[in-house]
Amino acid sequence: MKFLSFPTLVQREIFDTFDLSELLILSFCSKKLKYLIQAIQKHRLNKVGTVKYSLLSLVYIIVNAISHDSDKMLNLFIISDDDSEILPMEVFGMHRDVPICLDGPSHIYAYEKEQTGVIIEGIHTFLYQFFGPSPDYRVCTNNSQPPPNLKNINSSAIILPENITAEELENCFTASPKQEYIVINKETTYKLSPNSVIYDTDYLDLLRCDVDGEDVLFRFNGKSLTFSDSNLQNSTIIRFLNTWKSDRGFQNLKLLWIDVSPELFNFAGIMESVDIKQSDESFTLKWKQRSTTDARYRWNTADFSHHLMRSSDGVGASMTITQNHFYFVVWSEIENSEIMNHIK
Amino acid sequence: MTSPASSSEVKYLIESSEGNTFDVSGAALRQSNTFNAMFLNIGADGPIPFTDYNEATLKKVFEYCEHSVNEENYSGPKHQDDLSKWDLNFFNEMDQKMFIDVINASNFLDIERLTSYCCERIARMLRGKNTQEMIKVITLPTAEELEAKQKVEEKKAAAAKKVAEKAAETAEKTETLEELPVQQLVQTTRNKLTRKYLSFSNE
Repeated sequence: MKFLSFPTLVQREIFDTFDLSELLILSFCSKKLKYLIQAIQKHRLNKVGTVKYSLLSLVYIIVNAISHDSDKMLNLFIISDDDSEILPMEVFGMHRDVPICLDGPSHIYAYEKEQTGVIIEGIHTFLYQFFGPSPDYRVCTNNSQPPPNLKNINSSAIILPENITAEELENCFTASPKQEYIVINKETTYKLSPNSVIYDTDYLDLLRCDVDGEDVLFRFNGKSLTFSDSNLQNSTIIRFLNTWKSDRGFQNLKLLWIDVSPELFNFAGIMESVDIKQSDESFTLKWKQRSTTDARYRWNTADFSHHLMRSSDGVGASMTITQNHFYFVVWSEIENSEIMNHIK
Repeated sequence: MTSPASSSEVKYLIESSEGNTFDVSGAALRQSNTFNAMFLNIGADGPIPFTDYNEATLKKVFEYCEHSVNEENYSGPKHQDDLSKWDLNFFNEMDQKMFIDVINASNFLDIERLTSYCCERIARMLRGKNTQEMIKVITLPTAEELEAKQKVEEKKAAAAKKVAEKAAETAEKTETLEELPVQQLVQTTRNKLTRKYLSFSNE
């Protein structure tokens, strides 16, 4: 039956009965069919908000497409199984030589472990072309391997392997150096390379990494930074606040969140050293934080009664120290006029 | 005899591509949204021409419509497993050519239920297959066919280009003549005539 000769409405109705993993297999059949699917299934493909590549083991890759409403639209398992025979097929636009094939149901593929790099790159190149540039393309890895170095990756959530060096980590970001969001997890102390591209990320979360806080803080160029440093001292915070206040740095910064040891901190000392104002009432401020699980932002709130004004442009920020955290949030324009009336 | 009356007893005459006519009940015909949009309110004076489709195809389509007259209102596609024995027989007794003609006719007549079942049936033929198996089912053009098609298109494009160039050339000439001042135009024509006269005299 000549599928391409069917009326568009019929083609569309047939495509509608397929889930995304089946549509993908159809799209491997020919370029024309792929373009047809992209054209008449745009309404579905446009719903994809995140495409996530999870390399959580050395023997499988999970590919998810998640909608803007957090529904899983695609769930592919690319499994390396030494026992199963790979009969190479031209899937994901890869040449027949690349050892990957469908392995039964439409969402399971088998591949040769040694070719992980080539295969993940091939899958990503195809999906990037298929879904277009608008979804958040994300890489997630655990400590089994360093993240793959792929182009057009927007965010990375990675747990660093034990012995990875700063230089090796840098090499994982050369193809997509300016990412919007990176979350790095490492339970031991870790030092990033001094000129790391990671410092240019808009939203950077260094979770459970006991980093050299002063180093990270003063090299960061993005909008939002979260990290923990059990040795962070008062002097670092004072230096940071003075730098921000005098507009000598941190012009892009909107949020700083540090997990600290309360015993090393003396808020009264900080207040004395920097011209921190206190408002007659506390204000609940709202700020946007990237979700660690999908492409969405989540709103976070906290109450603040200590504020700082930037001398050059009058932009304000509020801060607070709780038992374990130091928050610093730059005001939005609306908050600015509201809080200003209450500062003593 | 055809009439716009809404009673299911009323019969309409349908004309096929062969010019043959046959009866279909109003109730069956009203499952076609195309018919509803075109004829339901204004009525049809004479046979309704569905002349893009042959008699066998149209009869098959309306056989389905006649059968589903008494079924409850259509509420979206049913899974093939939920199809009745009659439905299954209806599909199974068609060969592939007839099946494709029925899909096309059903799509034109906009008979939602039938179109949906046909589409679901095609999807079922493809589901669970790998790329190579799918290619066989949906008969995609081979590399040679694509190459031949491309050559024909290239030839057509080259011919069209030639025609366009010629047209542009003619337009340019006309434009040049139009742009010339009258005196110059008279002179050019005079020169041409002189040359012609001279060539005649030489002969």
